Amino acid sequence: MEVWPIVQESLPFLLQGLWQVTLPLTVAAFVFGLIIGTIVALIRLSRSHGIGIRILQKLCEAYVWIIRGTPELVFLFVIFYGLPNIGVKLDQWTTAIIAFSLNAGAFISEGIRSAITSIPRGQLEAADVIGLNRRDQFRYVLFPQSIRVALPMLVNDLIGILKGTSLVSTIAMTDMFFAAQTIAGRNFQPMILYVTAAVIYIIICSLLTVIQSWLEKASSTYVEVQAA
Amino acid sequence: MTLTLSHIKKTFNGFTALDDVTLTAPQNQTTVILGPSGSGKSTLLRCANLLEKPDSGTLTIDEESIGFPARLSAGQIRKIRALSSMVFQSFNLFPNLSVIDNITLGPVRVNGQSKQEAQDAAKSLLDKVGLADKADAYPLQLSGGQQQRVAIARALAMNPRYLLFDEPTSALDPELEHEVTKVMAALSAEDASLVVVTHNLRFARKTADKIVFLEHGNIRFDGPADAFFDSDDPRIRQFLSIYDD
Repeated sequence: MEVWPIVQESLPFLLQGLWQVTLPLTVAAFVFGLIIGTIVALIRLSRSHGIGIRILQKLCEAYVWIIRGTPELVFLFVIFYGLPNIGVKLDQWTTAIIAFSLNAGAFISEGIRSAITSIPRGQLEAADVIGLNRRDQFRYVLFPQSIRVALPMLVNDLIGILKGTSLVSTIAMTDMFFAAQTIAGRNFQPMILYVTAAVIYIIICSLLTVIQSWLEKASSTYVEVQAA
Repeated sequence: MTLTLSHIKKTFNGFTALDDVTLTAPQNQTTVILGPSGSGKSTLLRCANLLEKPDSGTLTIDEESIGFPARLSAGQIRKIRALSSMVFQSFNLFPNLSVIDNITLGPVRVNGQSKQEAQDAAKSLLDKVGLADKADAYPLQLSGGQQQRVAIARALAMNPRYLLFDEPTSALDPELEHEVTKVMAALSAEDASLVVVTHNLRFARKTADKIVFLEHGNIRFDGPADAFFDSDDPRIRQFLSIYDD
């Protein structure tokens, strides 16, 4: 059995799935997840005592609780196959983006929350004393310091999303994994096809890991100077 | 013109940190708050810029006055805080910003100075605290004494009426402590208005115009520094004797 010809023949289809579904979905879910996660984390950490904020905090808690308690696949099915029962019909892309963004947002919010809590209280007190408003405190003090702590977790989440997108094959979206399944079903070479797909996933995760260490270095210069 | 906290009460989960304490810190003088650990010194100082909110009592800084309990808007709090600036025990410089950026952040973002104006002012303040060559350094490259002097420069850059010091030298070894107290003494000699919580009796003896001695959330002494060090009060004599050994 010749392995290479099979790989060569199927590679364009796998890469097409990667380029047209896996990667754009990953990026969209991560970006929306980051926005949702940051907002949820900031709401949950708010020191304000207003009744509105407290209701929002409860809602955010419930959101994280529900998402973390639900398998991604189940959540995807609820939206795609369940919602039409109550009259809400969403197409595959909308379903996938909603499901993965909401899922990512819950996990990312916890990472961001822990990163922000890791900043010593004195930092915010110093910012308070200077008179910085909340936005400037976030921009100049909280964000630059917490991003350093949050980075490894964020890349973890990103890798989790990338791999999780393979679930969209179950709602008949032609991502890379669906392409591999389809071809394997035709040429009866599942080993070759699935290993090829696995290798591509590994390559992308490796790239992300390289980017992570590069970003970690860039965001840690102020800590590294100590050793210099 | 004074900074006055009157009849301040503050409890934390049932623990009474301050029990009807009244403190007056006159302008252009150095007021030193002494007392054993846990006596409420820091809490009292932190009430002056609302890092703690008293349960009851009144805070008056110059023409601003607030009776507690009060619901304060962010704007009101900022107005009170603008009148003073605080130097912390653990410095609390922003490690992600260079020394000069630490100092200019407030003047530019809060006081609306131009970047150039703020940097010029920051450089002369750094010169004043003896760190003119450290403008571009990062806080973690500096010794504790240097960090605290930058923190003093950062506080001065806001042009506050009152400078509040919360145990500014407690985290420093004696030599570094001396670097910092020298700067504070110089400010005191220039008639800046200082309110200092400290355990450093030598600093208090040399620099204080006025001393307040707190114990168990109550004021045990409030008067001129000379009178404090000559006091016949057995508790004060006992407190002083430990340091005189």
